[in-house]
Amino acid sequence: MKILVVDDEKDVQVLFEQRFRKEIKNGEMELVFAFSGEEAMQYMQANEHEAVLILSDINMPGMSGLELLRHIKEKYEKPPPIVMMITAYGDDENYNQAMQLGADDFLTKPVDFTSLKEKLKTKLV
Amino acid sequence: MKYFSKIVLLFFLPFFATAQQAAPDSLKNRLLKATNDLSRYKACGNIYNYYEETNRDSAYYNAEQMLLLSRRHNEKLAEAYSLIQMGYQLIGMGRYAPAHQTLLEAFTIVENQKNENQESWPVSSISFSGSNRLLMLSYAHHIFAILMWQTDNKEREIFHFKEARRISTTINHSIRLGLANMNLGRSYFSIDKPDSALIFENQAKEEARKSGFKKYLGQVYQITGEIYLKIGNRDLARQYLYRAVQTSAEQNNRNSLSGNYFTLTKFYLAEMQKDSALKYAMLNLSIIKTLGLVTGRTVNLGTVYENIYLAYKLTNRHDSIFKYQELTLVTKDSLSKIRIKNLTDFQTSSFGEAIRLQNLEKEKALYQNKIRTYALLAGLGVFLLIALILYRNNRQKQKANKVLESTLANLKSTQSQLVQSEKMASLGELTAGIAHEIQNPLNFVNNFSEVNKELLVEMKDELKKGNMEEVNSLADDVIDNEDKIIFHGKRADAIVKGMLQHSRSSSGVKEPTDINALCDEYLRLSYHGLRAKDKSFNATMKTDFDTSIGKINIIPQDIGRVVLNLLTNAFYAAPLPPEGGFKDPNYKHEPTVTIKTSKNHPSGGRGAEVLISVKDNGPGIPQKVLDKIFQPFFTTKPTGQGTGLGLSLSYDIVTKGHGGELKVETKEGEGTTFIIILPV
Repeated sequence: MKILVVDDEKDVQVLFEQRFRKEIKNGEMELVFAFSGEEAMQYMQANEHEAVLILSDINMPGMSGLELLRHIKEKYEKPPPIVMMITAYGDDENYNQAMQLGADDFLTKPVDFTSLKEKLKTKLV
Repeated sequence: MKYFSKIVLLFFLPFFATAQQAAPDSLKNRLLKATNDLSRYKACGNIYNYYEETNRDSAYYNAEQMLLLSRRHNEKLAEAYSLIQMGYQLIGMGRYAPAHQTLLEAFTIVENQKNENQESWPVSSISFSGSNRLLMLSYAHHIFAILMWQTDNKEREIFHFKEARRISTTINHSIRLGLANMNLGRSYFSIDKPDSALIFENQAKEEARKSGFKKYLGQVYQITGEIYLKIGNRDLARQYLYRAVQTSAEQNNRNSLSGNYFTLTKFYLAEMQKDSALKYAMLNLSIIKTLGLVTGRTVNLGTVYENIYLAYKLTNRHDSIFKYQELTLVTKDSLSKIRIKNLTDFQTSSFGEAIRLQNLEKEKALYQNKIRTYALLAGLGVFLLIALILYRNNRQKQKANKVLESTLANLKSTQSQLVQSEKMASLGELTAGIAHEIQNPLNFVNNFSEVNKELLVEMKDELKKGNMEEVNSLADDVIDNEDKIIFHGKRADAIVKGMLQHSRSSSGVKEPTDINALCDEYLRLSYHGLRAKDKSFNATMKTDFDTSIGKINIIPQDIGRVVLNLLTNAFYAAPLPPEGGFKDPNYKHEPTVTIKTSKNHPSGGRGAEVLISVKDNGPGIPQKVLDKIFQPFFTTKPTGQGTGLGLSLSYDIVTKGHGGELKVETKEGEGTTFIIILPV
């Protein structure tokens, strides 16, 4: 299972790699990182349907996570990849907007990786 | 009048019974048939003309009737005309004092320019299209000159004749001009200037020819004759004297005829021609009695008797000589008495007039003094009033000043409150950003801590297994993660400190500050602050930092506030379309905000400077707004969204607080760049 993680902070890569090190070691997961919305779009175009799950930050310079979400849901109709939003801004407005645009889940920072792992399991089964 | 008549009657009663020569019936009938005052006035005028030089009493009576009629209708110029005619007749009667009064009255009318258009009633037997007032003025001067002549005032006689001549020339009135010339000729002849006199008489003849008015042409011929006699041309003199008699008789001007006869008598007396002398002397006597012209200056009953007496003296008729000698003496004596009385009256009258004029002058002076005093008092009053008003104004101003002072104090405190609220507003903008922004480092701190815990558990397992290589690798990961925990922990600390710094009032203390770090921090804060408030908000952020700048001495909270303010404005402006929208509808506008730092080396009298520029690609600032952007409370944001103090405060912080400059460069449709210039 290939997961695309989108965040403008580079440390996110280290964090995710460490938290999912067992899954990576076992070959259950493969993590790909993009540090902006634009980069994520480029990756999606180049490697169509490779990533089944996208974890995206919302507040990023340039293309925001919500825009990225809209693009993905518009462009990749059958079957669209699962998109989960991860943001520091966990207010209702942000949440509702994400859901409207078709987000499959909405997580807030600091990320609770235990629950994230459970969600990934249920989503992917 | 009555007094004089009585004297005349007493002395000459026998002659007067037959002396009256009646006016033609046609003239009298016209008067009787007249149905209105204007017709009556005209009829009286005609009768006056008939009697003018033939019967003084009748002429005077008719002129007086004209006066009454014109006064009844307030016909001012007609009134003056009547008065002048009356004056002329009074002069002929030798009554100089009333003549003088009458003429002065006429002058007051004709010298008043308000009477210019009083022309409805005729003031001349011959129609005239020019100014009747000036015609009457000329006439008044003429008759006044005659009065002066008759009362032996040569200087004023000539002056008034000249005035009459001047005015008649102005109005181009041939008759009056001719008459003035004739009399001026006589005046100059009497002062022994026969040459000048002859010129005037020739001009008089010319005017009479032009106008066809020959009533006084006999007199002109007579004076011309006298002039020729004086310069020794006796033949020419006699010819003129005969033409004079002929003309005066034709014109029925008996006054002139009397003078003509008188001169002719003198001529023949000098020639020692007794018959001719006696003939003309006797003819003169008959005329003078019918006229009532007994009191003339030169020609009068006494001088006529004298001529007869002198003519008889050339004969040997002793009884006649004696008789006329006696008559001459008695008449001359009585006439002389009358003349002396008339002259005395005249002098008294004119002296009285002089006194009256003098009194008038005095009164005028007194009046002027009074006026001056009143004016002075009025001026003083006005001055006092102004002083009072000024005093009141001053008092009111003082009161107003007190009110203004307290208002100013209120304003100042309000202003400081507003400044504080502006700070709070910008803090509010920040808080949302900060509160969430702090979650990002916390995310790392929490998760790396948890990871480390897991790693350490794993490490324990590996230790038990004695797999030291794996233990070593895990320890390295833990150390790396701890570094990250420390880094992000500090980051959270900095965010909180930054917020606190911002909300704190400025310490006012300058400290070495990394300007690039400061700019970066506020760029993130403002961007995320705005994103927190408006989810749809998006803009590209660009940075261009000059890393060679190092630390500079500034008050970090203050400059931070300025940078934050400029960034907030830039983020607000960047997505806005230019006025009138984008030209190309397919153009996709990418809102971009660039923050740039740079360093200027000393040049052109300027020291080293650090520049911070904040650039947006928004619509730009219109010129009309540009002048106001640094004014307090000026804002283009919708009501309630901006305090209008941001740029004003920023300007004060940069210029007053740091001795720097805050510049703005803008181009409509392309964007705006704010540049903070700080001296190093």
